[in-house]
Amino acid sequence: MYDLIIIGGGPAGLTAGIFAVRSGLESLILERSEISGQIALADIVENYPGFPSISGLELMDKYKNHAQEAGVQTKITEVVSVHSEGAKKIVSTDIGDFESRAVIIATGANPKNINVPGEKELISRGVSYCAICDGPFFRNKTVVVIGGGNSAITEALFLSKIARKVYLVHRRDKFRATKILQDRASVTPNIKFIMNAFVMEIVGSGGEIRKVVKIIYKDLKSGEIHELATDCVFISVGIHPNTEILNVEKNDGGFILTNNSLETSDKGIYAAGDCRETLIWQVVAAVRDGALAATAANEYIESLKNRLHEKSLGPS
Amino acid sequence: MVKVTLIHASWCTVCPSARRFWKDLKSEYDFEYEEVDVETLQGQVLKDKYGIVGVPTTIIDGKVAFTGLPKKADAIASMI
Repeated sequence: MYDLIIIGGGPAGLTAGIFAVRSGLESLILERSEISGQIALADIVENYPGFPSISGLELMDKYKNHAQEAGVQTKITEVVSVHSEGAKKIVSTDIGDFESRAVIIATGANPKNINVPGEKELISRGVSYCAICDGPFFRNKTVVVIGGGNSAITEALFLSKIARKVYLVHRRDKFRATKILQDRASVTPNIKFIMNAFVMEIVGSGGEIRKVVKIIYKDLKSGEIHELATDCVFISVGIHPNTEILNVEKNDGGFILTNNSLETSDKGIYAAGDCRETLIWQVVAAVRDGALAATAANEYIESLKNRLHEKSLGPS
Repeated sequence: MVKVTLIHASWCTVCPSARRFWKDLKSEYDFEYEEVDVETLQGQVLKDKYGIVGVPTTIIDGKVAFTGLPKKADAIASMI
């Protein structure tokens, strides 16, 4: 039996792994893919202290190398479910069950859908959730980015170096993104903001191979309906947590609720990073979460072991 | 035999995981597997033929089956 199983090998999971090894815990990270973490998809990270500007993939590689050097054990497998049996945790995967005393859920999140007609049907036909993966297919083309947060503006800035024209479409009259990113986008000549715009539909061409040709949106101030021709739509409207594998208390959006020690409603199961309810979903917060969750899990495991030891000694 | 073709690109950060994923699956299941860089001549031909505008894209028996990293269960189901 492991002391600690960490599910997810992004910034939160790897940090938890490093802290667990340093605490002397028998630990294992279970990760679905070789390179994980939404941060690996970021063109540039500029808000992580010590690295004024670094690509997301490079930062992720640094975490991975650090974890490997520290002796963190990782297994590539897909976790199906997590549950408690008394003080024991059972982690079921596609290669069998693993047992541990504690678990840290660091499963991260995926991009959120906007759930409009055309979105699902045109995925890989011009609807994308990853500018760094799919942006290069749209060299000198017109692209739309939907969203108003840091990710949306970062994607628009990345695409402005590739595409001829970038429309940043946002449903509110203000962006949520930090001022520095807004300022940068506002002085980029080929980025145009379309505010108060509610995207109603993504429209594709006819024919055997369908492709995105336009979006239809409503101007929420005037009530008018507009069409905007585009070759691609990048959707960046927030995240959806990967928390279906366990049954603990969550908020309406599916984010796991935790206490100050990042413990979930199931004792001995902790949550860290993008999968839990928090104020900011950033790599810097994920790293802090990983460290805190591993430290709290270590205390929990120690108390479990002490109790077992006292039990084995019998009444004094 | 089922034929799986993975279209990938040098700039794509998800592609190494997708390559690893299909190679691992091939060690468990019997299917024909090839990887094609979208920037090669063969890649450009496939890109135009299937209208590919994203990577990684997996083509199974002449049809675009997945864009991105599929779930293992979905990948297995697609080959049955």
